Amino acid sequence: MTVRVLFDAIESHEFAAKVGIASSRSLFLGIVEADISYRELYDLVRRDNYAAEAVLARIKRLSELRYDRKFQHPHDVALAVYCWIVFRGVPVYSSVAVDFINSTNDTWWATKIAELISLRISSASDSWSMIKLSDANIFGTRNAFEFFVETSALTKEIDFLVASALDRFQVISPEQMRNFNFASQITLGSHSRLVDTRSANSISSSVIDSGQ
Amino acid sequence: MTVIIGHGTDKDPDYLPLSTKNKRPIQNAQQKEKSPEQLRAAVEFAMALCPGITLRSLSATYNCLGLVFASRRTCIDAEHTEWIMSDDEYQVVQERKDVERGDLVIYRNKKSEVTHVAVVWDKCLDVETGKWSFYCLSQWGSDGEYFHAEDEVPVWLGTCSEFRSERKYH
Repeated sequence: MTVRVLFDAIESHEFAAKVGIASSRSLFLGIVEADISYRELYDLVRRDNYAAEAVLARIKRLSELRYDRKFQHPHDVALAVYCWIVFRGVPVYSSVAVDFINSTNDTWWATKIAELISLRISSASDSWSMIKLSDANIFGTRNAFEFFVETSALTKEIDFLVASALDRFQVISPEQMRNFNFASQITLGSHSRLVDTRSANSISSSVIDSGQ
Repeated sequence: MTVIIGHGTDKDPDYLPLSTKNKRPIQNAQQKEKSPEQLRAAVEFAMALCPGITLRSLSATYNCLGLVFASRRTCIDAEHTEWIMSDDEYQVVQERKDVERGDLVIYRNKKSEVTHVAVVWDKCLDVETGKWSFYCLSQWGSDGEYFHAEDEVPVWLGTCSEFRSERKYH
């Protein structure tokens, strides 16, 4: 099948209805990955760089689509699927795909998949060592509603830990971490806890509680 | 690449304050409504797969766990089912004959992960076989609320694994 035909299948109401019965991200991906259209497009993307670029272009086009803002983005599911295909087939393009999704309003599955990919990208970085959940480095910024996390153990458990403790957080690269002036920029919101497991030369306290 | 994660937490604009009996916050988020065309397509798809079902309501703002644990107000990821049931003191009903209307039907996949939750709407005894069967109510993903037999759900929603109840007799 051609890329165009596969796009039509994945963007159809029937496809959206089929995967729309999922009530968790893992089930959503399970249904998607078992689908023949997904598998064919995934195989194409892995074999042919042109197909990969076509999928990226399609994500961009759908993300810029005008639609009735009273409702969800009409291609939420397709955006999620294309983003996952890019991540699985051509990981080097993943961050571009995720950026398109992040710039798109009113998505549900696409947002969830972009979030998962972001976490996996950060955990795949070879200069990041594996650390336990309790050892996650969580750094605040001047804005109490943004936090940086350095970890390669971003599982659903840490997602819950951070989600329960913090407002929002961002994943940053080790290079950015090295250049970041933590001491002057740490601000914590209520219930937040700052944990540092890096070397003793970085931040003096290993655990800083907001005390609020 | 800027990454914002923490979907469904209390700072998510689509989050509703929601806790278990133990006052543990439950991550959740209200989905925006789907267009009428999308919703109609979802019903057609469901009816084609499972002709015995009856549509009760058609809205995408909640999912199966949201129906059960949040009065149809929001979506809760099925991955949270186990600890929510534990906090809310749901127990496994050992015998099918003891299942009552209002109890929960838990569906799981081959990996024993919870894939779907339904509410027992009615029960029926087959006098010839002596077996109980159950008629259920559940939201399928976020694509419509249906009355259905316990085993009449799309294959992706798994199979009925157990019945749970919070009933108490004081």
